[in-house]
Amino acid sequence: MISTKTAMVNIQVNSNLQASQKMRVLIADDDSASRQLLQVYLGDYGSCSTAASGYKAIQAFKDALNQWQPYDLICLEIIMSEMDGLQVLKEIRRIEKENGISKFDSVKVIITTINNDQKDAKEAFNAGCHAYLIKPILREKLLEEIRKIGLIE
Amino acid sequence: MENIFFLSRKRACQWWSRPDLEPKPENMERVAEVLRRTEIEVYSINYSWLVCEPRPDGIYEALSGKTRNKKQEKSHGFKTEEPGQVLEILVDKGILMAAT
Repeated sequence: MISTKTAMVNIQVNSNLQASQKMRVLIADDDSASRQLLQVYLGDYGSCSTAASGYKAIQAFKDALNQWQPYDLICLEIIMSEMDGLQVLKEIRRIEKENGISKFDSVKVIITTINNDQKDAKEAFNAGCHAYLIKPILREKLLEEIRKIGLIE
Repeated sequence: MENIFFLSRKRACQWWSRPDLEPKPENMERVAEVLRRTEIEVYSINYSWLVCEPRPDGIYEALSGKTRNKKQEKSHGFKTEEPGQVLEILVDKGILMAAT
C-alpha cells in the first residue's frame, strides 16, 4: 500500500520532470523596466519570476525552498527602497545556512545595479554574490557571467 | 528542514567520480537516477538542484564509490551514517566490485 507521503512525493517528482529542464530565475528589482528587460534577456534560458521589493524577494526565495524548487539564479538590484539588495543577499545566505545549504552550494546571485560604489561591490562579494554588473545591463555580458558561473553552456 | 537535503549540481559534480559512471552527469535527472539505484529517496528534481533524503554520507558513497573520511563527515550539519552502507548496496547489485 502506498502511503500518503509516498504518493505526494511521487506527484511532486512527476510534476517536476518537465520543470527540471528549465533554469529558475528570480529577478528582484523595484524598477519595473529593469525587471522586464531581464525577463526578456533570460526568457529563452529559463523560467523567470519577479519581485518588486527586497521583502518580496526573500518571501519568494523562502517559498521556493519550501516547495522544494529552489531558484538556480537570482538577479538582484542593490538600490531598493525599504530593504536594499545587500540586506536581501545576507538574509538569503542566512536562510540557506538555516536549511543546511553550505556556501559551496549556495544559490547563484548576480547583482544587477545602478550602484557603482566599490565599497558596496566589495560588501556584496563578501556576502556571497557571484558577479556584480552595473546598469545598463547588456544581454551578452549578463549571459557571459551566467556561463562563467556554470548555469548555461 | 532537517528531513530533506538540497543537493546542488556543483556538489553532485564534485562528488561524481564512481569508476563505472560517465565523467560528468548530464543533468540532475541523471544524478537522481544514480541515487535512486542505491535506495536514496529523491523527492524533487530541478535544473541545478535536487531534493532528497538527508543522507550526505550515503549520497557521497553513491556518487563517488568511496566512503567519506572523518574530516568530510564533520563538514556538514546532518547525521552521519554507517560508512559503507551504500557501497554495500552497489556491491550487492553488482554495480561495484566488492574490493572497491
